[in-house]
Amino acid sequence: MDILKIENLSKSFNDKNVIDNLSLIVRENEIYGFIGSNGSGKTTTMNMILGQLEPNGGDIYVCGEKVNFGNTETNKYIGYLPDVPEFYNYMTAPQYLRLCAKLTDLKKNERESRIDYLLSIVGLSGERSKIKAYSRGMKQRLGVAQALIHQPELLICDEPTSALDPKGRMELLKILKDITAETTVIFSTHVLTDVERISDYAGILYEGNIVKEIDLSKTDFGDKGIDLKLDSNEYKSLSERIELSHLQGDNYRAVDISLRDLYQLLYTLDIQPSQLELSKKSLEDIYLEVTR
Amino acid sequence: MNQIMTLLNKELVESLKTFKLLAIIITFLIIGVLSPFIVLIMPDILESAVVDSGIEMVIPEPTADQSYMQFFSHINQLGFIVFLLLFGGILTNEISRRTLINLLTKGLKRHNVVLSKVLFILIIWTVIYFMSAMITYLYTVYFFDETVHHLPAALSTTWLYGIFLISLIFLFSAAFKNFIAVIFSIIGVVVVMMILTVFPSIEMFVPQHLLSLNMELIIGEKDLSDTLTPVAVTLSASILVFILSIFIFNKKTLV
Repeated sequence: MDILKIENLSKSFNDKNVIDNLSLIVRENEIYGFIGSNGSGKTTTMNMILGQLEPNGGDIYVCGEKVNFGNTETNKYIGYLPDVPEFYNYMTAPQYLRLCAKLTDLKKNERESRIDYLLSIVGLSGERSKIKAYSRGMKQRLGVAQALIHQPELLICDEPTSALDPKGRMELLKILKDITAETTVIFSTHVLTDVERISDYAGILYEGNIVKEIDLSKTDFGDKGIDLKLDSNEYKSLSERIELSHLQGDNYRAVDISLRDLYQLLYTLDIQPSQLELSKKSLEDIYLEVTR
Repeated sequence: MNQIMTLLNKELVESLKTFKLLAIIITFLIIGVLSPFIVLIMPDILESAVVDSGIEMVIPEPTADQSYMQFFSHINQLGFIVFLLLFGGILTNEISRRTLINLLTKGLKRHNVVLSKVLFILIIWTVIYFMSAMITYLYTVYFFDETVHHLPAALSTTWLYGIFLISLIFLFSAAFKNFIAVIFSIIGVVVVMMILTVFPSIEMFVPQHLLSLNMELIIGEKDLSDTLTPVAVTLSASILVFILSIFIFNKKTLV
């Protein structure tokens, strides 16, 4: 089932097209990494999904229902974690979650158990201090809990790890990974390793559109080439036969040649590189390729 | 309704935790107590000021009218200002701090946000205003033991003017994103109204007129029938402005 469907979405600010004819589908129980540089339109897209920003064109559907700007009914299906979530600082975490629960359709007799459950999965059980005393990481974890309070079909996270230290980032990514059994997650980031670590799919947003979608379950993104460590004589004789690009120091990369052919050539030229490695493409390489 | 009651409770807790409720209660308590006391001790103050100067001065006896005049004056000069400073940011603070985003993205209706805040602030204004007026009334009756004309109507005109100012808080909060813009816009409207009241032909249609009408009612210069037009205009304007605020807020980009 398509949890989120975006068709030909456009948004411009002061005649500048930030989102240009963007289309996207996110399916049930996936984690979809929404990749893009700062200012590429990730947050703008998310705000339009939430009905908080009016698009210039196109349609958005959440769980099959159309999103309308302003008061959209589709937000009952959505949990949202902003990049820097803001709370009522005079409240404690349970008090804040109680407020959120009361504003949703969650049944009265289910509220307390849901709050206890969410506090436990985000590691804030027993935390009774006021939110104003919370660290950035704790606020982010509370942000996840509030976003999940009404058991949403779709959790939207806007750069959830950008303000966190490495430990906080690991903890948050684990929480996001763990909750996919009950919800679909779409999260924006420019930290590609975060996407590689937990996402099923990644979409690269560039110049207002998704320029590439990647199935991250297929871990092999292709080869970049074969990296070799050669001394100057070896480089000289080999470079007369194949194209070598210089990497760093004595390291070179052979491209457009198979491993078998390279072995054959090295044998023929009697070259014994001190290091030889098949270099695989990473998500970063693909990102740099398509946004070049 | 459930959302409005939940938010109403949140507003009450917030105003308690941030001491805003305490501050406004103390301010209006002081106004209520101080107004008749100032009138009562004013002759003594004046007398002591002129006694050594050799100037002969006839100091009139304090009256109940003067007590209410002091009350209205304090409400106009201190009460409204403190109220606006404490509660003028009730909506803009949430917009600028982005605290509403978490709630709105859970299906909270935008009009319920405005309605709950309007309801809360109307309750607070009504309770503290009439509490203050009641204190002034009780002390005035105790000290001066005389009746005044149309007291309930006179008190209600100032209360209604307060409602109009509250409607402006919401209109400008929906239109702008920061508290300073809201306050200066309200001051701007008040200045324009003050200018308009200079013209007798349109004075009746300007809410600001209610603030001069209250004393004219107390001293018997005006009758209840004279209040009909300004009250109807102010009430209608307030309701329209509240509706307009909701309409603007529904279409406002909050991110």
